Amino acid sequence: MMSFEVDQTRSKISAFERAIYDWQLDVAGFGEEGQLRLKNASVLVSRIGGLGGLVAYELAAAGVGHLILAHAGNIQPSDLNRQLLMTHQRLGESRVTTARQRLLELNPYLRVTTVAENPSPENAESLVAEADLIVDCAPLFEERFALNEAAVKLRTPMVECGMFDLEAHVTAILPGQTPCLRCLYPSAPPTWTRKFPVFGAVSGALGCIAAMEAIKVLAGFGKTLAGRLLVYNLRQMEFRTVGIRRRQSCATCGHLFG
Amino acid sequence: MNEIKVEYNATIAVAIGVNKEAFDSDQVSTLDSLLLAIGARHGDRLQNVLFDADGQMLPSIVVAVNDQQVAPEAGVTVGSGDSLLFISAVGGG
Repeated sequence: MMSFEVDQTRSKISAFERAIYDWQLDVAGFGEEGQLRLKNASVLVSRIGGLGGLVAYELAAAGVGHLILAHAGNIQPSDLNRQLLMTHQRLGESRVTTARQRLLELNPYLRVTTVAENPSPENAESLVAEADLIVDCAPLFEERFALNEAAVKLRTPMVECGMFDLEAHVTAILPGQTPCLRCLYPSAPPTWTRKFPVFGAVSGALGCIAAMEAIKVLAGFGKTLAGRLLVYNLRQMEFRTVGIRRRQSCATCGHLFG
Repeated sequence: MNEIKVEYNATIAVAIGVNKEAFDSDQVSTLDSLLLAIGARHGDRLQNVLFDADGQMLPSIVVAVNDQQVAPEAGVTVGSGDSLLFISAVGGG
């Protein structure tokens, strides 16, 4: 009979883990080596709302070993159309505490670090310092730029994803190799606000795409969105990728041009 | 008509009510002249969405010609059959 135990040394995959991940271990280019990379990975997901919550859920399901969840505040009624880690029963309670419990129900072997703060220039570097990869799911460009600066400084890959209405963008930022967020957008759009129109199905779809991109970057297989921006519109069901360019004058990563 | 196809996303498309349109390549041969034509067609609705108060394109816009980002300051030429995409940054999370 199989022992329901995971390998605590993080140097191998137990028989039980092999059973849990059996269906993904057969994915071409992934295998046990990829699974072990996920097991040993720490991923910062910031924040864990409609987008980040789905990212965290998929990464937990895939066997990422450690998730760092950053999000301030308590669950509001207006979260519930899209923030699938949040529940009616927990209205008014901490978002990160609720998310942690939901994720551990899915994967009790997951290590979860919760930070009840939103990213800012003050805390971004300390949040990123413990992560092998960031998934940027913040609703404000100030937060996104703060994470981008920390990612470039610490050379930490970042999956950058955002949405509006039925549209979304995703790219993989590899500092020093690809455009960073400031290369793409030297400044924030002047009319952007924290509240934006969205369905949960849009954030869910984007969260799954971003999680898959994170898995590919961490496990080292497939063709990532490094140097490409995926732009899609679910109103028309149109998808395209655009080749993007580094900006030598970039205030954040221009100094990395060799 | 010799067409240049132009697409807009997100807040730009919402502001002008269309996400695709065409311009006559006999009238437009550079990105700068295309921006003038876009501004003339849609007027003030593009202020703070595609253009700033001085009529300059916002730095938060990515412009792609035939699915490759271009540097607008580099004097981009466009012609019949080209497809341009104006991408406004979106940051919903």
